[in-house]
Amino acid sequence: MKPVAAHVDGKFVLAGIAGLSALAILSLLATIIWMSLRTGVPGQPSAYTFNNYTALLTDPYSLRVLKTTLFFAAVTIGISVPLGFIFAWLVERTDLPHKALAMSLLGIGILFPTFLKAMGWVFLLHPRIGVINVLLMRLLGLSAAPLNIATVAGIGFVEGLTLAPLAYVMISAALRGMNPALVEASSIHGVSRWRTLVRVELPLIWPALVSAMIWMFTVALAAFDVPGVIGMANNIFTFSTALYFMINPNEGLPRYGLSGAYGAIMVVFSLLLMLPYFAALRQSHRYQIISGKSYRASLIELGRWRAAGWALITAYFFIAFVLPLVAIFWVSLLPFVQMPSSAALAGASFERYGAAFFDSTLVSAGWNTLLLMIAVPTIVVAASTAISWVVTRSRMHGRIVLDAVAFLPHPVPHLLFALAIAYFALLISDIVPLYGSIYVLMAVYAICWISFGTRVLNNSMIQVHRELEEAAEVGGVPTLRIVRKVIMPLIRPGLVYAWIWTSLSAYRELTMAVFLASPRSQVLSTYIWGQWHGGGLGDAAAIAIVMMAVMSPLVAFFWIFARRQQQVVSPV
Amino acid sequence: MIEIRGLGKTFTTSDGAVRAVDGVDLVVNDKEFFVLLGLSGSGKTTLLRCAAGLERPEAGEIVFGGRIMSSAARGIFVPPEDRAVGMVFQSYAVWPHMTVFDNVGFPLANGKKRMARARLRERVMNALELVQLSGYADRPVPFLSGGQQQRVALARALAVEPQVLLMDEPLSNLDARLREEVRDEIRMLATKLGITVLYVTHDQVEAMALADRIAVMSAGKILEVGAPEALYHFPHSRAVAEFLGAMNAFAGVVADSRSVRTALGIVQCAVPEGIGKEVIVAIRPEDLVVSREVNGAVNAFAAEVESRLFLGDVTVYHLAAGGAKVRFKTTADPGFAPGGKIYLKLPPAKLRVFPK
Repeated sequence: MKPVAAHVDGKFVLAGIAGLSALAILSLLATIIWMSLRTGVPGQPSAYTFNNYTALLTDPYSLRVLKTTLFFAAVTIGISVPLGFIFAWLVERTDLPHKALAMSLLGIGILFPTFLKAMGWVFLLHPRIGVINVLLMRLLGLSAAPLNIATVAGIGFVEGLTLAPLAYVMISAALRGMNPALVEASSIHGVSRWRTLVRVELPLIWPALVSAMIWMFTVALAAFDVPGVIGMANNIFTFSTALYFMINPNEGLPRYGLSGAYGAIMVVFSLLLMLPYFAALRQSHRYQIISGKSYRASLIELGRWRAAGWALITAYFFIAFVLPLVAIFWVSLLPFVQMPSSAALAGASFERYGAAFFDSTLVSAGWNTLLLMIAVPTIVVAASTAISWVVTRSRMHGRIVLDAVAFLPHPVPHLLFALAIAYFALLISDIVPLYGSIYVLMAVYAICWISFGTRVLNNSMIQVHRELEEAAEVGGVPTLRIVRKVIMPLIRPGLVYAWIWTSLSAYRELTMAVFLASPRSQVLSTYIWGQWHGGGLGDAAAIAIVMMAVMSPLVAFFWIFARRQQQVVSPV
Repeated sequence: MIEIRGLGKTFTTSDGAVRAVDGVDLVVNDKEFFVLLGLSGSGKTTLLRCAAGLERPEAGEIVFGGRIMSSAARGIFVPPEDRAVGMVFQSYAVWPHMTVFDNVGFPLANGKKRMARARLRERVMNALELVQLSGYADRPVPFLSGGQQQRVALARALAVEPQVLLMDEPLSNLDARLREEVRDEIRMLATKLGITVLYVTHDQVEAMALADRIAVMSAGKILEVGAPEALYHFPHSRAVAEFLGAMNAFAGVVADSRSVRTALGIVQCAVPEGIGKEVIVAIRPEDLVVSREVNGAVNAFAAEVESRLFLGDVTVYHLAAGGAKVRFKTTADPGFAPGGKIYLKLPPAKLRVFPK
């Protein structure tokens, strides 16, 4: 006869890891609020004040940033959601041939760094150096560039193109889950295909479309890559780039207090957006089939429209992915940015590729990146396993709250977490000299991606029958051993999937890195960022090409693995 | 020996609190095969899971052979891993990433009392021998049939050499033919090994075939406990009677201590003392006596055949007698045709009288 406490140590270990992770998330969010109420440099004594908020609300610059951000978000949604819907409809509802290939063409692009594609677009559509602009001017005899990527609409267009696969994944999940009988009942009773689409199908997936739009809005709000690469050099600032500029001003001291106020408002705003998001999501789940029966709707015969469907998908792939890539490649071969011509081609060489890699900063950036690619996913998977176990398997009090906290970094822009940890590291830099080290990046990456890890692992663990665990419990096996020997082997695909995705994310992450990277904690993305803004466009392009080439096998492996495990490639 | 006293377990659902187990008292004797019988939602599985330690009851005590396993009043709760029980789950719960051998050996290798490799091997092989799976030790579990997976689960539960074996509807996922086969095997093994078994099922035939004693449960409470024969033939309530098998029930009014007036007419039967005026007279369909000619004077009534249902081993007739519907079951089919006039007799010894 022993008291309970003697036996739950394994459970305490898991609950402890889960609790610490949740604490880290919450303290970073609290840091944002706290810094917004103070002035001056971290560590300096300061009175609590609302001055930052008054400064922010009375500044006409804030209003301009707000307008820019809203317009940018609107364009992003306007491009990504309709494209995503059309793709989802083609893949899920029609007899489009070679769907597996279509899905690959649509999805693969999202795995490559967005900021590299944004660089490509500058080379394509910049009014001065954009290849397409110059060609159009020559062809049509225009005196000014007809297209300009360095506008709010321009960056919205690039962001929208990049996010279309995400919208596609969200909407196609809704289309796939929708009870086909609802649509068939309409067709059977003599309603035409078109009317059924407009009157039955669209209203049914409307909630899914709305939730996709809200999600795209939060992503646009947080987006840093595209506005940072294309907008900043041309004085276009959205929330996230404005925030970056406050911390890294051209002159003067970083304004932490003001950025905190910006951040606090973003936190509140993005959390409020989750209310309509989940309401819409709940509404769309109401139309889903509950039973697991394999019930397939009859597919719409596209007939001669098949070619049109494929043309659209191929066009998307080329415009969103291949074209910017080719542009970067072209620039990387030239001694300076030139238009395609036989003369330019004669001067093209791989010279940069050799020279660039003797830079010791780049070498150390490479090692740092590798370290993050291994350490971050390992931490994320370990912490997420503990959290998901507590949430889905235990009956501990507060597990619902834990799940909600673990979800927080999903809607809240990651750059705010980076901002908070920078402030926090500065604050404690006298005691623990972590500021500017690679470990700060490691910590914030891990904290932010726990939200992703727990989404995947919650899902995997729910599918493991509870009795499999209870059978071991009754057999006298201690908790930690059950987790290690029964649960983890059974959810291995989920663990591997979460690990690789996080590793890929660590490779391509720019947003958090630019907020935190110091000369001694450079990673590949910040190195390219530095080259880009320092005027070394050609070197940036060459390293970008190598970066993509290096990650390609990893992407291919991940892609095949995810498809085989039927995991969604881009979970939300 | 398992003693359960005043056990209570409440679940909070979105529709409010549900008293899954509501003040249950129970004693299971050593080496007894004890079956908890009830419909789904009657609390039988929750009771079993409390015994396993998978649920923590908020009232009452559970004692295994003098050792307190759980006592709400004293704040004692022994977790499942320390209760030394074996358990067979409804879903089998065999670990799909392990072989047959590893499934059975896993609790032995990872449990509280770890054992040497050679001894473990012997224990596992013995357990597999018991369930006739020795030839399958190295097979990955997913390659086995449902019945074989069931045996693996059983072997795993037996390999820990438990004092108490808990079984939660272990046969419900098997097809009918296999169910009988495995059922008889389980009964045989339990006798052979001399272990105490607490077994949950909703199938009354299964319960009667297996049990030394049955407890019939409903709404979290035990209605009645008894040997299968006693419960079947001499139930104390109509609910238990009907749960164990079909019943003809006639509403009536007590005329005197030896007769009840029903829709059939006056029925002679022993009316228990203290019973109210309105009662139910009940008889099992196979206890009726039916003939073409009138047969004696006591409790004999004229009836008409409404339909005949041939089920192979038995034949079921639906009869109409004096405005009452009567169900008659027989193994020796008299071959009555629908519409035929016959006589039925209710032997007084087979009649049960329940309060209305």
